[in-house]
Order: sequence, then structure tokens, then C-alpha cells
Amino acid sequence: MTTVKRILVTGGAGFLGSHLCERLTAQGHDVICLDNFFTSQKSNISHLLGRPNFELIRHDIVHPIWLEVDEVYNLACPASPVHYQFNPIKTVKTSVMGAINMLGLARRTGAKVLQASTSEVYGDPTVHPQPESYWGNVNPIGVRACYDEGKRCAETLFFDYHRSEGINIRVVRIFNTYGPRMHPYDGRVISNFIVQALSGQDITIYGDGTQTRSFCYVDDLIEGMIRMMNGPDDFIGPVNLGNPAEFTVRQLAEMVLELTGARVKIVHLPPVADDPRQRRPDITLARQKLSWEPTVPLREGLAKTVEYFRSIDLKSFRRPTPSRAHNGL
Amino acid sequence: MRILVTGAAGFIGSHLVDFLLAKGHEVAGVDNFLTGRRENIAHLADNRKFTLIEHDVSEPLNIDGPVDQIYHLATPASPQAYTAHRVATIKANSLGTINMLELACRTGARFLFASSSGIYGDVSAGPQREDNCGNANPTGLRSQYDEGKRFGEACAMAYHRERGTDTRIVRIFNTYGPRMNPADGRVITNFVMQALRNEPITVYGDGMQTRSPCHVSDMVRGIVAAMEADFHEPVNLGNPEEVTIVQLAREILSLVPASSSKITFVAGLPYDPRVKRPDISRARQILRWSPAVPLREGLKTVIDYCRSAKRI
Repeated sequence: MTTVKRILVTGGAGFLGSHLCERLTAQGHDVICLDNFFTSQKSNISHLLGRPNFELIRHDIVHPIWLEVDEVYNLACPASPVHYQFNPIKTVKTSVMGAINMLGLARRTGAKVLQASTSEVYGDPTVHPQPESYWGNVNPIGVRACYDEGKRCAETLFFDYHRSEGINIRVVRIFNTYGPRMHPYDGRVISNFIVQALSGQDITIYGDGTQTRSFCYVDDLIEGMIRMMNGPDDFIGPVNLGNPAEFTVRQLAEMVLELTGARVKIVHLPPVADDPRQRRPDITLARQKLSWEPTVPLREGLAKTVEYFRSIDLKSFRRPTPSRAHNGL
Repeated sequence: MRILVTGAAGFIGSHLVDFLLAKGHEVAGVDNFLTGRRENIAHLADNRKFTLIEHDVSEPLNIDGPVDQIYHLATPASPQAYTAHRVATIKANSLGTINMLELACRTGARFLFASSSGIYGDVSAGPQREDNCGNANPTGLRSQYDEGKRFGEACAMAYHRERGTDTRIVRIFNTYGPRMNPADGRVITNFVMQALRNEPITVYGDGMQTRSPCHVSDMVRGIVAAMEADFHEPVNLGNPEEVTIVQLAREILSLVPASSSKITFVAGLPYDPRVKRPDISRARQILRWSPAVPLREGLKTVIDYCRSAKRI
């Protein structure tokens, strides 16, 4: 630890954001966590609240904010399909107005700003695995477009501000990530399966279960993000961060059954709209430029995640509805 | 009706305003004059049914009184313009679209987003249908336009789905006609200006590459038909008929008989290699629309415009 930096993390109380805040705080940095608690949980960061180098601001990045910082990690965005399908307008606004406001802040303060983009920019890819040079196959008017195009447009904004205004940017494309502090009702496949198994319900697979996913454990992902932020200024991305090990949704369900020891069945439901068949990162670039790759095997990460879900009271979390996302704990 | 048109001083916007005024509507035209030109709407200065609002759509807009329809056309639209105004372009299409959709929600207005063939990105040859997801680079040198338009469509659909906003999307292909900025570097205006100035008409490569330009009067008819139709998904508007660059040059020369210009072939690539051709089956079927102005007639209007405006 040489220099203490003032670091802003938007979406800092979310799943990834809270882990990032924790890591940066532990490194001794002066961390400002910004969140509107639209989908985030206060319980994710309550353990950091007493620390002298951690500060929490309740704010919606759709509105500008004036802060003096050296670095910005822009993570704020409803990130799971259950949210963006109930709240498409909130999603497009957060993505794009949030990006503009953070880029504006970076321009005023000279801060370096990292955009947490997503593998969703590749849509339903026709190329496997996806390298960063792949332009994607996104339906601009589909039900997931609010998120996919919102994130694509945010990338465009980052590059335009970089090219026109000289803002020091980084763009990472985050693939499926899992771990403790995932919201139990975020509708993602891992949290769905674990919650179902732990509450004695059958595990539901949309489609035939042969669609594949790659899952990156949260600690690996955070390490990659921090390396990208601290990498050389001539490598701005976009760079894929994810785990290239591929599993079918069926395999995942079976592993969850085994780790939870639950006595439930696996049942199949009709596939959901615009659900990609397959998604897997090509992380050649991250390996080369950041000397980064995931180290936590799925079984080990899943075991920690199951442990987390066992430790929380599922009844204190709410399912999202059209009129509200999750309530903050 | 009272109709708001953003980009009202632009090439297509100003023709749309004329068309709507001619139908007896009241029109509020919004423009920030970044690339829109005052001369395009100068003839409306004394028109009591027209109001000009000088405003940048990337800032929220409030307007007194009722608004029945909003046509959102504002954006730098030529490759030269959107390259010069990168951030303004992505903002007009992203923030600008959100702001105009918010206005539509507040006023209950029907909203039309002027999207573009740019959303298809670098697609292989052949006419594009609306269900093509395209091949657009989110972080490239033209993304401020292409991705801006894709995002604008996603916004229109988001408001339609969540708030029931009455939205329309048209994807505008290559369009030409009077009031195109002759300094924009587009092939038709380039050739016309060269012919009128008796300069060599420069054709890049062998001139066999094609364009399928649609006359602005046809385009405006199509845009209004889309607004009037009960259909929320995107509709391609453009001319599927192809013409080679050499044909264009010859056609223009024959319409300027006094010109001493000669066609000269220049090595290299055309400025815009990604020209796309629309499949307009949907527009034909749902809007009962197809282009009607023959190329030769359309070219005459451009030549007359360039002449009368004393641009030579």
C-alpha cells in the first residue's frame, strides 16, 4: 500500500459493489459507497459502516453528484432480468444517465473511471467463446434491450468521452458472477437453484437445460476489476472478465442438489424470451494484459455460496414486483 | 393537432415541418442549430402556426399547452457531422430520446423515434429486414450514431412496455433532396456541386458500387404514415432501387447540360462503404407506402436547390 486513493463505487451496496468496497477499504483506501438501494441491500455493507475510511451516500446516479475523487468504479445498475423487465425505464436511465454523470464527474475532477459493462452486450452470440472484438447479436427492441442496449450505449459514451474529452477510462465486460450476497430473489440461475433446494422446492430449469453458462466466483472477478483499474493507461478495454469453464444448466442443478443435500426433483419449464443459448468469455486479453485468470473452481465457490444462503433468513428478503424492486434490509 | 418536431431545422426535419403545416397542423420546431440550419426554416418566420424553440434535446424540455404528437429527429446525421460532434450525437439519441419520451408521457403525446439504417451496422450485402439484429460495434468510430440509434429504439420500447407510451419507430435509409447541406460530403450533393461549378466529377474506384437514395418528399410521407399507423415495432423507410455511382454521375451531368464537367475516376474507396439497402415489405404492407419519386425527378430538385441558393 503506497498511496491512499479516494475511490467512489457506484452501486456499492450491490452484490459486486459490496465486495469491491470491502476489498478497497481493506487496502486502506478512502472509499465512498454510493447507492440508491433500488435493488441493493443495506445488509451487504453494514459491516463496513463503522470503518473510518468508509462512507455511504444514498443517491441515485441518474442525478449528477459533485464529489472529489481519484477513481470511480461505475457499477450502479439493476442487473438481473427480473429487475430490468419490471423496470425497463429505470434501467435505461441508470445505464446512460449514470454513465454521463460519472463521466462528467471524471471530467471535472480528472478521476479515472471504470465502467462495469456486461457480457449482455454480446446478446445471443453466434460466436463462441466471445472475444472482445465480437460486436454481438442484440435485438434492439427485445424485452432485454433496456439492459443490453443500455450497457452498449454506456460503453459508447465512455469511448466518446475518452476520444473527445480525453477522459481516462476503463471498460470491463463482466460475465456471469456468483457468490455470497447475491440477492436470493434476483432470478439468476445460481441463486434460484440454491434457494429452491434450501427451501425444499423442486429445482426449475427453463428449457431443456442443455444451454450452457460460465460462472465466475466473485473474489476472482473483483481481483480482475481492480487490476484493470490499476493497469496501464494505454489499455482501456473493453476486456472480458469471467470464467471460461463451461457448464450446462443441468450440470449446475445437479451440483446444487449434491452440495445442499436437498431431496427435491429437477423440473423443466418453457424457455424464456431472448435467453441466450450459450455464453462463455474468451479471456485471452485479460490473461495477456492483466495476468489475470479465475482461480476458484465452481464446486468450491458454490459451497461458499450455499453456506451464505444457509446463513441468511430468506424470509427477510422480498421478491421483486412490478411496483417495487427489493426493499433494502 | 399540435405537433412537436425535434431537429426541425435539419434536412428531413424541415421538410416534415412543411408537410405538417401544409396539412393545417400547428407545429413547434425544436432545434439547437448544432447542425440544423436557420435557412432551412427561414421561410416559416411569419407563419403563425409555427413556433421555433431553440433548445438542446439532451436537456429536459417543458412546453406549455397540449402536445398531440412528437417526432424526434434531432441528431447530427452525416458521417462528417457525427464525427465532429461525437458526444453531442450520442447524447441527442440517448438523453434526448429519454427527455422526449418523458415529455410524451407528461403530455400524453404519441411519439415517433427517427431511427436509422445505421442500427444494422456492418451487414453483408442484400436488403435488410426489420428483424435483422444487425452487426454494430458498440465502441467504434461511428458508434455514437449507430449505437445511439439502437439505444433510442430500446428506450422507445421500454416506455411503450412500462408506461404504455404510444410509440413509433422508423428506420431511415439514405435520403436526398433539397436542403441537404452541400458541405456534408454526401455523394449526390458532391456531384451536383461539381457539375454546377464545372469541376471534374470524382468517382472513387470503378464507380460500380451502388446507392439506393430515397427522395425526401417520399421519406416525409413515409414518416407521417408511420406516425398515423397503429404499429409499434420498427419500420424500414427507404428506396430499395439501386443505382451505381457512375449512373448517378451521368444522370446528374445530363441534367446540367451547360456543365463542362467530366467524370474522372479516382483511386481509393468511397467515403462511406457501408451503404445499405432496405427491405420495405413491412412499410408496403402496414403503411401502404413505397417511394414514388423517380431518381431523375428527384435529382432535379437537388440541382434547382443548389442553383437557387447560389451555392456555386
